[in-house]
Amino acid sequence: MKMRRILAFIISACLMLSLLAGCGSNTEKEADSKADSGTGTASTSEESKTAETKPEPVTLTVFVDTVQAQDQNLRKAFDDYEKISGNKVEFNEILGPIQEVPQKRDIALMSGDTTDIIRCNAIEGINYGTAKMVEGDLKPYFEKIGFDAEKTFGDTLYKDKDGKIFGVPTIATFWAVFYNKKIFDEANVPYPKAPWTWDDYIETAKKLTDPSKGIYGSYMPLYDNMFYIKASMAGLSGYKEDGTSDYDNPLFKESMLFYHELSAVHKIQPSWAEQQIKKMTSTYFLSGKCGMMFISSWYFSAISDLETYPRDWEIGVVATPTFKDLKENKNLAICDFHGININSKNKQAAADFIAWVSTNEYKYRNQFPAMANVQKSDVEDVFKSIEESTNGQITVDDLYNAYYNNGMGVASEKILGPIASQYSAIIKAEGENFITGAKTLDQAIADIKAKADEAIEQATESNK
Amino acid sequence: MTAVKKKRKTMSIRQQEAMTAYIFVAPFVLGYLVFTFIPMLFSIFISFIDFNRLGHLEHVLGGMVEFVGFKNFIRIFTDEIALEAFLKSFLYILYFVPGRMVFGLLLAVFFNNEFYLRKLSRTLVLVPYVTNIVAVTIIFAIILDKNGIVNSILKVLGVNDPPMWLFNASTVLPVTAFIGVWQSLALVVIVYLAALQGVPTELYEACLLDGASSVQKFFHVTLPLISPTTFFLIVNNVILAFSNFALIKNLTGGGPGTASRVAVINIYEEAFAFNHYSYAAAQSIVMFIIILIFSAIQWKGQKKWVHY
Repeated sequence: MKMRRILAFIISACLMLSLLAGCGSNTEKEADSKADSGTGTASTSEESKTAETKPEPVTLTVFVDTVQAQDQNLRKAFDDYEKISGNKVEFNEILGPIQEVPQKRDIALMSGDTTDIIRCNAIEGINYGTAKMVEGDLKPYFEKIGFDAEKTFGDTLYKDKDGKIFGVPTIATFWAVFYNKKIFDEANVPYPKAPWTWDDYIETAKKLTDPSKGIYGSYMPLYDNMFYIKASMAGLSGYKEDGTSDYDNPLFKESMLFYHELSAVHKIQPSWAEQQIKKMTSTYFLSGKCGMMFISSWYFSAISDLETYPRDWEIGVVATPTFKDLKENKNLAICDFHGININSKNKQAAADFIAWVSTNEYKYRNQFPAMANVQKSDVEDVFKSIEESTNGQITVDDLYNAYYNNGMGVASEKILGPIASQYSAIIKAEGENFITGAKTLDQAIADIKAKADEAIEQATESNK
Repeated sequence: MTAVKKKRKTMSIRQQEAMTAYIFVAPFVLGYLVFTFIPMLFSIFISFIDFNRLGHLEHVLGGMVEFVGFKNFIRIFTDEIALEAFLKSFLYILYFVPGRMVFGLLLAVFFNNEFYLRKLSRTLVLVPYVTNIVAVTIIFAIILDKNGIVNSILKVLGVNDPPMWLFNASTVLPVTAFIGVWQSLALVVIVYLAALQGVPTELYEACLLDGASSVQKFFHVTLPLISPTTFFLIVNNVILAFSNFALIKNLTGGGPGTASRVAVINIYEEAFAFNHYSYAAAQSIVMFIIILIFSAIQWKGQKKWVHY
């Protein structure tokens, strides 16, 4: 009897323990930091000045996704920062698929997570800023370490309506067209040269498209902003001055039609539907089945990864085509976001870290800086590194001409603002309704406008 | 020194058994409280406040959020997308539940007979049930592609322009339900098979003596005797159809447009894409009430057709 009782107790205890073990969280890798040290230690660059009195080193934690956690170049950048500052930087890895990272991070932050640095995209960063989940005024922290964020970043800084800085960009991504030289050669088509127009792009893609070989002349990623390329290139923000949706601007309608016709009329690229069903991702271009791809510069990390995406063909890059009927064409671009968790216990050290990575990280990761007034000399090392990683297929001049010396201004690739996530979902849903024939173009555009206005109204009311 | 043995206070056998039972039940109760009951109470709470944006939970728990009464619930009835999502859930039930019940029963009847390779066939029915849902969605995406196997066969049969099954507003929901039925059929088959094997053979022998046909035997003996199982499965299937998130999310994501955006997908989007936590909670409570009403109606109606 006694044995049975003991056995029952052991089994029950095991069940209880296994249940409780499941409650553990891997996002709660709290920093073993001391209470707010008050002052940072790092400099804005390796050459810049170090604070006179070195405070106690702290351990900083940074939210990263699984891809970033595996990125050796990012780790190297952080390691170098550790050497300069004396602080320790730990990844707080959000496990699981990339698309679920924002939700998991939201929940962690809502629950009071104290991870010091929030690293995310612009839309998520703006959401955190609006929700006051990140430190709302970084200027005093930057002043303490002598970092002039305004001068370094200019308009790319994340500011609230009162002009207070709540976020800093690190990497900027710009759009351009990559092309497969082998497909061009086989079709006897000369490589594209900027300046060129979207009409030129379509005509070139038509010559490259060969259904018998399964080759498309063009490929574009499954991003909602493909539905409004022209409007973005015209510099439209998606909002009118009074804050309502600007989707009744004819350029949005033209944009949606333009994108739809690339597959439906010109037959130069797989349709949105085909991409959805076949679950084709942005890396489809690297399979060698597409002549050209319009994508942002994050793509260099995929191009350089010959182990994951091996290829036996050469690659080129050329500036974004322009729309003939637009007065001014702007290239699409967007920056990432770095902010300090409002619950961070190391805000000064976190500001020091942000100041350093925002001006240095791009060098380690073959990416473009988000800093204002970038000169060729600023990016020459990065360009050389890209040239090396592509075995000279893409030269320093190619890169500079495609991304900086293209005669275009810069506009946000995405509609941001107070309802960025909802706007994106509405455009995607209505865009699909138009593409599948469930709605006419006019109906789809009118519904986007109506739904966006409703969402703006609700967001305004909710934020009061 | 004489050791005086203290008389230990011992529990009666009944008390000991009860204690053992409590210890065994405790892990489940604890898990249920933490992962189901408390979140459910919290959902009810936040559905009555204005927590429709990102923010710290401590503010919510600290009472810093405005109490808005039934505002979130009322909003559902003016929200075209939410109403459509509930409607699509009902439609999904109409495709999913009868499909699962009929095919499940037919297969169970089939497997109840002796035939060559019966064991292997039974095992094969289980395969989709244990297959990863993501793998299932990828395979069906390939099969149902514009130039996939299904459309290739249709073209051979003379259909000129077969639809893109998963990217057509009128076909996406029934096709998704069909894939759902195929994927989860095994459970229905197993439960029905167990029920069929419990039907007394004497009744079939009596039917044989009375000269009843196979169809008559099925409708007048088999179906009434397995009716409690049918009732259980219908209730279970309706709940499953309402909450079938993983398959739809992976297969269509609610698209194209909002064509397969059922209630559970809409709730997820509202909560985790738009941070409308209170509104999503209100929708989930409405969904809970609808399932409750469905189950109550079935519970009431069972007296007329379920034979225990």
